[in-house]
Amino acid sequence: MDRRDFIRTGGILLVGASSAYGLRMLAVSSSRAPSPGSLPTTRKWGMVIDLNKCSSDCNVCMDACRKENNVAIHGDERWDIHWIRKVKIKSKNLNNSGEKSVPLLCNHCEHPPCAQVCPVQATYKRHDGIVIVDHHRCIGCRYCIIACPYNARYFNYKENDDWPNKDFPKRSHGVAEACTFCAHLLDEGKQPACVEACQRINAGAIMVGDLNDPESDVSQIIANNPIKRIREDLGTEPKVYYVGL
Amino acid sequence: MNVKKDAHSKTKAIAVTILIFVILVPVGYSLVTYVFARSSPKGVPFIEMPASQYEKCVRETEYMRYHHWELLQQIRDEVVRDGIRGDIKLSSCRECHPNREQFCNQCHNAVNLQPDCFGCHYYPASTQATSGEMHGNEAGLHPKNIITEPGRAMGGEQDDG
Repeated sequence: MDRRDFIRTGGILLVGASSAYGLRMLAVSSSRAPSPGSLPTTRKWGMVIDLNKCSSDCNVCMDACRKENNVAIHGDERWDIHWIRKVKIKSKNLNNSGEKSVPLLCNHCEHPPCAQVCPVQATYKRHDGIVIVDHHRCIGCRYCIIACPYNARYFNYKENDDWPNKDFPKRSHGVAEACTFCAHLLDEGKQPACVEACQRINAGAIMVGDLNDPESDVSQIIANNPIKRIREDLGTEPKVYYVGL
Repeated sequence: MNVKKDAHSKTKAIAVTILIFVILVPVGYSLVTYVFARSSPKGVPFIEMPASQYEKCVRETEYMRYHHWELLQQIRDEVVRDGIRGDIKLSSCRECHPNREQFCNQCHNAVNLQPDCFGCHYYPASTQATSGEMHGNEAGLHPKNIITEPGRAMGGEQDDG
């Protein structure tokens, strides 16, 4: 075998071996199972707040949220965090007294601006529509706080010392946070803390349910009542619906 | 002529001495520390054996010893990002290993690791109420938290109560 033959045979062998290896890689990559995050789900969580049943001097939902989710309160409005808060709205257009107490929280938008601006994909929309912060990934840049048109996001300027619910993690200094619809409870088939608290005092003003299911309570109320969402003109498609706003 | 030669050999001798020191000092230091590390009982973590109602851990002991964080991170991503909540939780580790001081920290301290899991996830450092002895790193806090807010570090907080 002279030198030319040797190189030719060697080259053919090399190409053959590499292509065989490549074929095997292709077979492996095509047989990979889809990741659980890309699985389609039929559920889409949404909330209905009936302001006719919500009294202005009641803070049960706020307290329940604080206890369940270890939401920090430092006694200083610069640092206090509210996943759900109540604001008074005065308007001539309102039906009864001209004043309404409105619970405000993360609207879990269909097109969340907070998730769009997050540079590390720490904020994202779950497959069931809940907008959530991965606190492990959050770098504390606060873009989401600026982007949110509902002022629903808060920043942990301080370490939280209170830890009422030991089964649920608190957040460390330097991450952003907002309402999660109590995703940890919804995943277990329970109701969020604010909903349960509101039902416990027999008000039943807050309800959470599946928007994709036309038979669910939430879908029925949305279909049969005049509903409003906050700042619908922005096109964020919020999933918190208000009755009587 | 003689004086010059003497000076030259003197410089040479000093250089050789310095060189020997430069080589010997680190080698000797590591030898001494190695011997001390071999002889001290601190080189053997995992003092506490689990006492619980469960027969065995979720994975084999060898896997948990060297790869438990990979399992925890995988579960973390599944729970946080996909909402898949399985049986394995960090909080269920507590059922068999209630004492972080005697369990997690044994190994973390041996390899000088301060994972900041426990700043947000509840895992008591000791089963008794004598948690006043722990300091920042043992409490699982990141050192940066202790530096930026000295008044709120775990040690100072415990003194108040």
